[in-house]
Amino acid sequence: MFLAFVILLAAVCVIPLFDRDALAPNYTRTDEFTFQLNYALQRMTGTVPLDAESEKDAVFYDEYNGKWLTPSEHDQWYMDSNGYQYFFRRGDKFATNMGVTSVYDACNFADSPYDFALIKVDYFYRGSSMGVEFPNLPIDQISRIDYGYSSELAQYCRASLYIADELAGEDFDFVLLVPAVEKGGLLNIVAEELFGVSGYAYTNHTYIYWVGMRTMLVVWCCAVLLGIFFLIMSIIKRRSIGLFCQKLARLQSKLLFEIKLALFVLLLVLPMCFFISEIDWNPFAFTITAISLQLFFLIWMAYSDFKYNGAKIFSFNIVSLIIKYLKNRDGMYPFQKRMMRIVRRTFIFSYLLIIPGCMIAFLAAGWHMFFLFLFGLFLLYLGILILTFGFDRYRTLTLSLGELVSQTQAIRAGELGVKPNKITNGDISELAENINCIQDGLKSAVAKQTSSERMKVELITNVSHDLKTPLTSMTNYLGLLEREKLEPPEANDYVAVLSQKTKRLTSLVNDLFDVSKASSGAMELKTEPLDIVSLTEQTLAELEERITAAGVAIKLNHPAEKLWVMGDGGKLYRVFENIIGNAVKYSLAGTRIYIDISKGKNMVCMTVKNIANYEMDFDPNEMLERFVRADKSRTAEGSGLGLSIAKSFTELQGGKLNLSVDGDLFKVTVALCAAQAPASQTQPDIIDVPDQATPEA
Amino acid sequence: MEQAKMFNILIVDDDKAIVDSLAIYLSAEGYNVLKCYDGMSALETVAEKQVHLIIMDVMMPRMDGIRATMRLRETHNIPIIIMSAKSEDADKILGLNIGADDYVTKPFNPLELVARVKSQLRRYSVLGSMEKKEGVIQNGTLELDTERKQLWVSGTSVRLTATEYGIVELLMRNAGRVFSIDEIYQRVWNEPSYNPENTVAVHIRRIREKIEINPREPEYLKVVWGIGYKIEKI
Repeated sequence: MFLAFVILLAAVCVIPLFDRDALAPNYTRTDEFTFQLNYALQRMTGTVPLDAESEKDAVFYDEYNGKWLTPSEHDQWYMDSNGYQYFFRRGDKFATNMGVTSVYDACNFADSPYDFALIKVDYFYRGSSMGVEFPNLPIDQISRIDYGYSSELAQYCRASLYIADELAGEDFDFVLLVPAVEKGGLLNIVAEELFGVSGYAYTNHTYIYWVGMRTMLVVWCCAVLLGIFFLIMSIIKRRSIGLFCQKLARLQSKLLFEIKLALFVLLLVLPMCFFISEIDWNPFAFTITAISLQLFFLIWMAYSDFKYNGAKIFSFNIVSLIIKYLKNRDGMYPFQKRMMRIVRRTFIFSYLLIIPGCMIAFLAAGWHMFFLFLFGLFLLYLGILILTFGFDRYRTLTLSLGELVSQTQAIRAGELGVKPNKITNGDISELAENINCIQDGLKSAVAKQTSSERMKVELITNVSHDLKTPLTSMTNYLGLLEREKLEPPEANDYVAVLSQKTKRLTSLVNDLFDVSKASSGAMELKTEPLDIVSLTEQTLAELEERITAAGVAIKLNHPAEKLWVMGDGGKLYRVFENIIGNAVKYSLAGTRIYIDISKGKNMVCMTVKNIANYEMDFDPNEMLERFVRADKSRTAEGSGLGLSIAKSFTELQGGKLNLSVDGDLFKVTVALCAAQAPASQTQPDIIDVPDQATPEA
Repeated sequence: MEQAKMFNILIVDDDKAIVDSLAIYLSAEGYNVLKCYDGMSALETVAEKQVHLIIMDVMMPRMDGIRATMRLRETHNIPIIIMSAKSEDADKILGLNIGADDYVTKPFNPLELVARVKSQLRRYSVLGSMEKKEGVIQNGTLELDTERKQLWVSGTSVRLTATEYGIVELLMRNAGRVFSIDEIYQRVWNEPSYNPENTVAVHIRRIREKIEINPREPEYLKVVWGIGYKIEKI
């Protein structure tokens, strides 16, 4: 930024140096012009006889002798610094361009046979004193020099004649002839006897240039000095320039974009128009310098504005103000109404602005009405901007809604740790906030539930420990007591009862522990594919002694192939053991227990049917409650938890357990999820027994 | 029993009644009993005296049984039996993984514990130094003399029927491998299986009753529910 400033300043200082040539007058042309002018004037005034002497040879008119001069070998030209020309012949001052036309001759314009067909002059010099010399008159007295009309003497020179209008038919006070030249100025002044002198027209084309040059020099020097001053100041006050820029930017930030744009154009275009219109008489370098400075400061301001205010300068415009106002008003309405308003407004505005804007602009362009055209364009601009803002709002709304949808999806899937949204979009910030709150609430609720679950499990573990430790001591000491021969002998029976009841207590505690764990959800399962037929056989083998003792027969029906289910072997064994054990315990002696294994669609069922040895006057569902037992007197062995445990364990493994009672027929059905047969296990090869022992029959 | 007098057994439990009762049982078997009531003092005792076996509770003040076992395993190789009220599979696996040799859940049968103590001591002292005999398959305290068709458990001879012997030999030769009921039937009976499950299962249960200290919680012959049977490789 600073560098750019310096470079521009330097350029401004340097430009006039390069442009010096452009400022310099074209002497040759001017001289030639002078002669042409003189010649023209003399011809006009009739001082040059057209036929008598060669026009081409006639170079100078010697008014003293009243004849035209042609240059000869001995002639000498001399021109002083002011451009006065002298013509010397044989060492004598023979002629000069300082006095060309006699006033008397000029006064005879009107009577002369020549028609001057004077055409308007483009402009004339309004500068200070000119190279006008009156032998006996101070320059100051030529106060009426400005009078007169300007005209152009067309075909001879690109000169203009400036002639007092009044002189036609009147007493000619004086005639002023002003020929136009491109650089500087050239003036012929014809004075009259009025001033008491014999009037002569004096020509000076250099003086004016010199005066202009002198002014330019002063201006240029001042500019260079100022430039250097500013350069030094800008180096010294670097920091405060930055501060100034910031302040400027702060001021600028309060301006609307449209106003800034208008100011920019105005500041840029108006001076340019001015300079361009004046470019003919203003030195070119000056124009360039001024425009450069203008441009520089405008660009610099725009730059600092952009630097400190950023993209805000574009967003802070009329439309955004309008929309902000509308948005604030929208806030008062509930969500549905607000959204409806936005949609409606976007469409109405865009239709009402874009279409008429287009029409007006189109028509105005046809009618060549510039301001109407601009107005149309402005409407178009407003409409498009509002449409853009509307779509942008719709876009951010869609994005925010998408974010909310994915958040709620994650919450639904149980990922409560998902990041809460940070939507500040005014339209749905309320909704976003609510969802965040719900997520928080859910999270804390789940955490609470988890911790209470953990506490429950800990409680079970601790209670079980506290129950099992004294039981251990009791078992141990009872064992010791059983070894002793007690007095009186009945005491041995008492110990036997104690021992039996302790065992019962132990199984009760174990069952209680299992059912609590299963229902608290703290049970760990290791599920794998199991063959339900093998499991049944294994269970039956485990219960063999009890079956024999109960005097019941088992009838097992199952398909030939293995039936695989998903389950935890140990837990499923508890289920089967409880169900079959229960059947064995409560079967009428001499009856058969039917165990049927069958394959359903996705389930594998095992049904156990037995004839009860008592009247089943209970609700089958009640049986599954904890501690409910078939015999209400509760004297038989068992905790009463058997079926409850079986049900809990079955359900933990994704199965179902049903009871049904039909007269004396008690039926338990366990349905378990069927599974694919496990892939061939990677087990070591079997080492066969060398000489296979033939088992005895 | 002459030999047993040499063994020092350390019982660690914060319940004095349990320690005392176990001490009576073990003394009756001729063992010398040391008592501790927390993990720290157990470590101190092991450092001071020669201990041949430790029975360790888990939930104890000052230092629990798990940590005490871990500390002991850094320096000692003596058998450790953990007795705990925690009966979950995960607890058992944890106990065995950190270096315990056996895991008994409370409340237990004191006689079963005594049997386990004997088994561990035998494994530790006798079997560890025993040279391998020709034709003898050994697994833990199980020894199967394939030439004499004889099974020894903790040095005691066990009578098996021919079928039972066939099953035991098959499983012992493939210790650690799970056999399905069909496989066992085909290999031992030497005929294709036709509804053999119950027969095999009953035989296995009977073998278990003969060789296991507690048939309900077998140490060697394990039931893989719904799949088959195996002899654990120890």
